[in-house]
Amino acid sequence: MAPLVGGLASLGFRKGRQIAVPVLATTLVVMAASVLLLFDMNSAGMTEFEMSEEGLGPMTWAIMVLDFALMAYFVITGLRLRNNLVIAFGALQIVPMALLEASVFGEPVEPAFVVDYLAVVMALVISIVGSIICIYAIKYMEHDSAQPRFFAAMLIFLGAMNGAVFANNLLWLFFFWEATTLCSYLLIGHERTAEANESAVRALVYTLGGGVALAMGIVLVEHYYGSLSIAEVLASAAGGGPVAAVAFLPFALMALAAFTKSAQVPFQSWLLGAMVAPTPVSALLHSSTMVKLGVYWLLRMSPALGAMTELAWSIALVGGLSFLSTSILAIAERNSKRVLAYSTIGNLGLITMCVGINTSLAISAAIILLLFHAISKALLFMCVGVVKRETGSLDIDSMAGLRDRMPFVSIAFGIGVFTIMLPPFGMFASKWLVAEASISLPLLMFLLAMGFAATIVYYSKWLGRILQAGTRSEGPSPAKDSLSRVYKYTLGALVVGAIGISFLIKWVVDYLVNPYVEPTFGVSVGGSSISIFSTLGEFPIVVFLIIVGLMFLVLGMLVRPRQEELSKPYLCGESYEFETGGFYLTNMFDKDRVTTYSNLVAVVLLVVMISIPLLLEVDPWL
Amino acid sequence: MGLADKSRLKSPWMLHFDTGSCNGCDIETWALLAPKYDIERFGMLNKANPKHADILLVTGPVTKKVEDRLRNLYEQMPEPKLVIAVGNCASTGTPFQHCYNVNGGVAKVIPVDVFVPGCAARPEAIIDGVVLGLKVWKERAFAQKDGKGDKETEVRE
Amino acid sequence: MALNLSDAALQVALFVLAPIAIGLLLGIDRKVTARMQNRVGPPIVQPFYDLFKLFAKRPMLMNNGQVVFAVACLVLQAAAFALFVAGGDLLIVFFISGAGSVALVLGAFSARSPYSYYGSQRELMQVLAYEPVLLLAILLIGYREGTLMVRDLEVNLLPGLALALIALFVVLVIKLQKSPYDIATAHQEIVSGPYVEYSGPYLGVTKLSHWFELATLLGIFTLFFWDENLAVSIAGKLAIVAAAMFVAQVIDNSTARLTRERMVRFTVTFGTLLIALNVVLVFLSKEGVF
Repeated sequence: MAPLVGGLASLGFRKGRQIAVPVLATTLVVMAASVLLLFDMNSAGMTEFEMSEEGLGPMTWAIMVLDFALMAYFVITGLRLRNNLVIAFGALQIVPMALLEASVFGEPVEPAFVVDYLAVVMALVISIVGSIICIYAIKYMEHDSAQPRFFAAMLIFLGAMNGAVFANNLLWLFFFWEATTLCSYLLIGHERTAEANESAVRALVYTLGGGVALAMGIVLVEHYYGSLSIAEVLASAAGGGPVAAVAFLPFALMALAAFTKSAQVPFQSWLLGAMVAPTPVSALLHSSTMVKLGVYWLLRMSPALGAMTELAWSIALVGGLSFLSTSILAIAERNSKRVLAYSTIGNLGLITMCVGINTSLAISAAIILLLFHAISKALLFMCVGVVKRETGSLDIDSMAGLRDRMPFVSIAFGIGVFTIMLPPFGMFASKWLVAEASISLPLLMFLLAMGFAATIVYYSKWLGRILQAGTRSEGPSPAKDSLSRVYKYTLGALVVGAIGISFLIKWVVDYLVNPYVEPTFGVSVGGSSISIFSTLGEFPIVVFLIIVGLMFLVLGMLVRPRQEELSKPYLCGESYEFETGGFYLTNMFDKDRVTTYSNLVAVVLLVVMISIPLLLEVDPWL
Repeated sequence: MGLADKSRLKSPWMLHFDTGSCNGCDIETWALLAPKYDIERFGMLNKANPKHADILLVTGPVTKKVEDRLRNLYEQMPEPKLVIAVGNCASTGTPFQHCYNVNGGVAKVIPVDVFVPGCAARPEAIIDGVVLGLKVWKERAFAQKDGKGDKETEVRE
Repeated sequence: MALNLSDAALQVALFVLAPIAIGLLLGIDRKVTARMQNRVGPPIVQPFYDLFKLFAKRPMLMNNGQVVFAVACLVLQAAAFALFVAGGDLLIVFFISGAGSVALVLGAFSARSPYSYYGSQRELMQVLAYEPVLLLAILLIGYREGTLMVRDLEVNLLPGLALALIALFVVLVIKLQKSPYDIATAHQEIVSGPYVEYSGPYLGVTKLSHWFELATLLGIFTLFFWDENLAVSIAGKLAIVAAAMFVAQVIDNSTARLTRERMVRFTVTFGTLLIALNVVLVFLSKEGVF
């Protein structure tokens, strides 16, 4: 409860210059509350923690009113922007929601908040990583003219996310979902430039479209299951609960909504455009948290998908396709934030794919992936942000030799890249589990293989650019590094977090992942003190972590070339200054064509996904 | 003779550099790689990279323009190294010795260990030169562990 | 899962002997290539002379990043092979070996030299070409057997996975740096690619890590044959390795180098196609068609 309160408390913010204090206060409260929540649940041995609605009576009213206000705001914005799609989507949301509210008004949905371990994982990510990013944003945005607006949106967003993962009432979920859309729209367009506005509107259109799908899905859920409680609906769909029925269509629609929120193919262009937003926005919304809302929803639905194999297949295929196409496209990208955006979409595609595979191994892999990706990606985005502040450029090629100029950021960035793609870190462990999970559906193996190789290529390329340095006789001296302390602490915190949590992966698996997976799927991933086990193999992660860690530390300290050992680069005997160009494989594939083809395939998949249930609906009447 | 020294003798990698020759000696050097003379049986490989090479095989009379580059490559070779000047041009600069653009032999630029005369030097002579160079190495290994000697010896054609 | 002393001793012995065996194998490779080219060729132990000579040279380097990553590459490749010998998870072995390749690439990037830079880009292209195929082959093994632990893979894989083995031959050609796909270390084009700025002992380190990399790959080849009788098993495994090397040599000596785009296109289409066919076959056999 506390995190939600903390988040909601930030709603009333309209601040002046001294913004650091309220932001810091809120973030600390949120962080502490989420950690407390975890320990509470753990020590009480609960797998679920419920809170009924009676204690929060006025909330239903408040949420309903706010919900309609929100939708009205969207319509008004659409009118203001003269964007027909926004108007249409806004209106399309209001109609079914109004009908629904009219019919169920007065019936309380029990329980109102359900906190299970999946929600706890999400809450931890949102609260801790999100808070670190907000603190980072304090320094990053210090020269910005509209800070109150910015931080209000950021903090409201944190609250909305927390609310969304805890909610059990579908209507409340819808409200929080749309609230995140609103925050995203505001934050992307923060800079009020033409490009920013255009990207913000595009994001709004796509996610509102998803909201429409979600609204229709919710209406249909009520129609079929007679209940708006997520727990009841899922139990029914999985075959145990008040109404034992399998209804494809609402779940297909809600999956569609999740796809738009998580920017899967073919909806990925909004996320790419959203990269014009200030970096903290990118780090928070578009890599660690908001886009995770879509996959969170898919994970939440996953127990029900067991009975709907065609839908699960479509979801898996969309996810796999997203991963493959975005990994390939990232190779050809020069703008560092867009590369990270592609990488995010790819990883979300992996999580989506796991939901589609729908085995215990896959779901466990998905949750682990979610957790680790958030940390590492936030770290990478923050590093890119610092680089942009100091050098003014987002181009990868301009980062050549960054190791000399900004050693701290380079090391943080290097660790970010290492944790995100290389063994023996946690993210890699989750990728290993994903690969093993994909064995159950061999078609997906093929989508994975090329994607993994492409991931290695573009990250190594980038890290290599940064490492390109000239002849030096000793390591970087930290005294020359004039980076602000705020940056150092926040980046440092994430670095420690990323490495530390890889060490602690056994506890993650035992305490955070398995409790959620066990009731529905059974356990397939376990840990011992040195390795993680899965049904197919084992990964002695701690052993490797120690080896790699020691190796780098020892080597970093031992290897100090003496002066007479230094040599010049081989240039056929010449000695001149040179600049090397980037390597973007433009003659191997055309970025636009790849995008077009993958969009096409994805659209076909989605049409199939929606139309088959639709036809099944219509069929009984024929 | 330790393992290190024995390995050095058994695996001399060469870097071949042309400092303005007529390519006659170069062709003879490359002929060594062909099946007829096959220097790979001695473990010799033609590496184009000074950082990988032990032996620097220089042809040509070292024009003034190429002098810096030659020195650059010589410095990029790690110790222990050997320099073999192949051909009359590389040895003394003849027949271009007094031209305005020529330094007059490799020895004027970097320390040379073996001279292989001939115009063009015959492949057998070049092989003899390399073998002599290895012998120089062996003796140097007995005499002292490292350091650049300037022992110069000639090969009779 | 108690590890008794003789098991551990055997694994340690294998770990130490394998690089020596690989060195000999590479020496035999050079000899056979020379004979194919109507030459005499170096003695079989030549790679060891090369290695010792390199370690005996005076070190020379450009910056410490190079060395750190080269040693990292060695440690990772050796660790991957050690895990393989200890019977660990094949997928982890593959990924750690991949991490070793990445370490080498990063080391090459660390040195500010154009040849090194383009060499490592090409090395990444090679990774793009062979990694998908190798990953798919390993996943296919997992699919068929239901486990990826090497110590549990005591079954004759060859009949069912012959197509995957053929796809792996292409991977071997690339890893051995042979034509037509010796792209990263193209002698005339890029002087030694990622190894350009390495010299002396550090070059020796990279060579040794390459040996471990080959040991891992050839180890995967040996998984394809197994028999109850230990002698027959070993003979079969050696036969597969010998056959693979010989095919690689024949291909090397009869082709010229192709472009890197063609390498990626060919490997990905040909390799993936073969493995896809194999997947279908395994699927059908699981369903009971044959």
